[in-house]
Amino acid sequence: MAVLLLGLCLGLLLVALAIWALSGRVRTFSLGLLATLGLVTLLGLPAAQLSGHLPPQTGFVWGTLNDTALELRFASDSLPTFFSSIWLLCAIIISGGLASTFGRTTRAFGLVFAGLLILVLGGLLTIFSATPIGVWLGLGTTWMGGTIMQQTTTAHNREATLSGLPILVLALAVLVYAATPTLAGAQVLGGPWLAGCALLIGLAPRWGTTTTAPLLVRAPTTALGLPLLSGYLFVRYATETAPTWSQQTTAAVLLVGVSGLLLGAVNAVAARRLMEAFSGQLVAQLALLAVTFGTGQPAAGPIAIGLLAHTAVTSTSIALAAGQLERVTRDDRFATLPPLPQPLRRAGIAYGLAAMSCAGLPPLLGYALRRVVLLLAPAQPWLPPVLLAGSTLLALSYLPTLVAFFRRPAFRSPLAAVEQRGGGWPLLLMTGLLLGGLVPDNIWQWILGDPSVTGPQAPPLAAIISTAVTTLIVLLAFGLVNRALRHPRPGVQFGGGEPLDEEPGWTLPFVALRAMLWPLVVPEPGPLHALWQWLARQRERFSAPWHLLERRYYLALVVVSLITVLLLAAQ
Amino acid sequence: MSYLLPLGPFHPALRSPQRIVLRADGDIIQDIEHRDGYSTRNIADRIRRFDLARSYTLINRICGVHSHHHALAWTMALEALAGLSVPPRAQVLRTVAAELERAASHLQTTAVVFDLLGLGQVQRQLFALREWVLAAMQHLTGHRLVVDFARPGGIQVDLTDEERAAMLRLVRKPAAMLYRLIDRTITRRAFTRRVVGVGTLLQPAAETLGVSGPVGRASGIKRDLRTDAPYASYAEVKVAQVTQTGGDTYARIMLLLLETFDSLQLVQRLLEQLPAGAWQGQVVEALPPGTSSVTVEAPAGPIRHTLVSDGTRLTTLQLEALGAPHRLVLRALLAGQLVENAAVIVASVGACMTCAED
Repeated sequence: MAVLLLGLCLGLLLVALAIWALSGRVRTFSLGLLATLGLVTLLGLPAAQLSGHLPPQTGFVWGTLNDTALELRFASDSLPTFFSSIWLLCAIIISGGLASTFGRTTRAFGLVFAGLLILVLGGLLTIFSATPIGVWLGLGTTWMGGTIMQQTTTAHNREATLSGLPILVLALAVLVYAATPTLAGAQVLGGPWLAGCALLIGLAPRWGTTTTAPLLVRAPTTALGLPLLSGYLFVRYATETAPTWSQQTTAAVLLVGVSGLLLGAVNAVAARRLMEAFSGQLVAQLALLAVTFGTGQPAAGPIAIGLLAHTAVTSTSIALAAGQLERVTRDDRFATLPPLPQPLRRAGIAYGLAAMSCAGLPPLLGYALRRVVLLLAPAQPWLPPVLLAGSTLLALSYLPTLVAFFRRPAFRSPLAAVEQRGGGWPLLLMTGLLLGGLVPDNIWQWILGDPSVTGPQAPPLAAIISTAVTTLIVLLAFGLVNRALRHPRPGVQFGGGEPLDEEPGWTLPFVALRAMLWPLVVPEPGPLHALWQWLARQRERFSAPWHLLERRYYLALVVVSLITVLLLAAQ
Repeated sequence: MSYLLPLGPFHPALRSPQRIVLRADGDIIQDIEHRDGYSTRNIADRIRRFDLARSYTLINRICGVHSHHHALAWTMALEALAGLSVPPRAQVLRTVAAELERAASHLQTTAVVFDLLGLGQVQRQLFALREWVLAAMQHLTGHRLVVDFARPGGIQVDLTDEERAAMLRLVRKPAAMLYRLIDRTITRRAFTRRVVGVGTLLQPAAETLGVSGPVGRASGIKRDLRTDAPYASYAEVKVAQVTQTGGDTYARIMLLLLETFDSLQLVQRLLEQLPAGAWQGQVVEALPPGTSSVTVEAPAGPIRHTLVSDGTRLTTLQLEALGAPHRLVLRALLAGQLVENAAVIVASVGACMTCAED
């Protein structure tokens, strides 16, 4: 298995290097197809495990460091196999979507796909590694791939610098490795690990920065990159160790999860940019993992796995759809997102479906998952209302973006048209969520792998449909009330410029809600605000030395790193 | 054999300092590196420390070629914050100035391309036309390039009837000359063989890379703020939506020439129906708290000014040039092209970074 995984990884690396070398000579579209083909080939890995051709665990000693053996061990049990399948599927969709958006004649953008392959390589190492050194190597490689993608797609060289976020991730990984020889033994680091993940995936000020890199390119680095892998590592760690947790640890995990959910949702509602909202939503989604384990129930493991896969699929869809919106409007601020000459229907529908699933609305998979999380908490009667409140806030946070997909200008341009290309990719993913929502029991069986093990009790189909109808009626009523309260917007006439920024297009209740919630996110002054400021200062401090790695110099770093990895592997 | 070839920071093809390093293999460009930031003056930061009366001077000097469009966006944003309305006569004259600036900018871009192609006669004719347009601008505003014309609630100077008649004469002649020039040039073999199929940027890539303005319209992106979200007097006159689908240098040059012709036609129509009435603007010295954001369609693409006021002073000013050709666009245009065509391709996109680097 180790040979197979290493062979596939080295093959992927060679494909990435070939794509890099051919970038200027071969059309980007062809290179994108080659990368997608390479990713499809990788699906053979989970397929081999499912067909029983792989041992559950294997490894080898990679080298020694300070007389300590560095062992690379890989696990191919049901969790990494299942998650890697979903993760690879999302990566394939992103790769195909990216290839199609560059057109047939463009050249010299092959490095985007080389970066994507390196990111996938790092992700696979992280997913399958059973030792911290492998996880560390994987996270570093993932960061490197994401950085290459971002460097290649920033419009101005002043933006092509590295962020402090990966540095913090690596520091955390080193900390874990230094403190514990195995993942399972990292109990003492459970709390800091959770807090670190919460900070890294959304609360770090990285999300507040602007960049001209299209969101479509940022999708793999955010939706599939380090945040999701952090969530996966947490699930793996918690699945192994949760039965041994003390009551205090379980309560602390639950508290962190609930806080993360509420903070993420509030942050998303109060966000003023697409990316800020996306990061808040991702924090809330990943916090549900901690909530699940915080209930202390035995069924928490499978549910968390389902939630993780659900987060991967919805984040990818949202990033792809929102990327198209950002690309068409050339803006990512809610206040200034211009109306579209034509609605982005396919992307908007995909975004809406993903948002519904994330908010836990039927008949999508998110509803079934949210329902079983609620059923898990009989000992915490306060939990269901809090979860419902968090889910409602989360649902509200998706509205501004969703409206932007369909908002039309008051003045209809006679010739303006919007390219709809690429909108179908996220819809493809949504089909899976819809199917998963309609037949959740089959999904549980697939996750568990063993038909004899009983999964969590999913709601019956009749309940799903009746709840869906009720929700639809409530949403329609809410929409009618909103319409009645909507601001009378002045027409686009020439009365001295555009109207004053009143968060145009949003309804009064939404503006009021944002105004009420914003002080909770950034109190002036307050501990959270102070933390934010501190993180911003750290980011500046860390990112300054990385200015040296701008442009071609970072490529030198990549080459040196790859040579080092290959030499160590050969050793 | 692979080698590096620098273009810039100063080169006739570049409208503002920037460095493009071509990585070529033989005579084919494989990739490029682009470095900008040479024109950074921290105007957005400095303006926050100015009083508003002094800020107009600085805003008009963000870009020498697109001075009026920056002033227009800035003034409209101030008007939105202060709740000022603009009389119709001032709106029309602002639009006239904007179209004259567009015509002058497009003529300069195309003249440089023809110069690089070795067609000096066409280049001289285009520069002569530009001089007519700049003379008309001088009649209107008193200045040729940095016009300092727009003021909150109106304009700086009015146009007398005699000046209007003189301007109409000045504009009619270059419009007719330009029509004949386009008719003669578009089929010239010396022109077409160097530009057709050269530096092609098709619509999907243009959409992905966020291209807007004339470069985007030459690639088939049918977007123009003058018709999509009309400001000033654009809703009162019919703006011809000029688009091309080829996405190559030929399409870009044709688009610029046709838009120039349409701009001159627009100026004529606007001057002929110039309403009488109030026109004078005022210097706003205090602003209510709030945020406003205004986007205008400048000659090289949309420009957005976002202002935030706390009631006593401006706390934030954000200047964005959405149409500035950045390194991704240049990479898509130049990769796979002949080295000898690089300067022509770069010139055809009007690679001016001054608007983007406030």
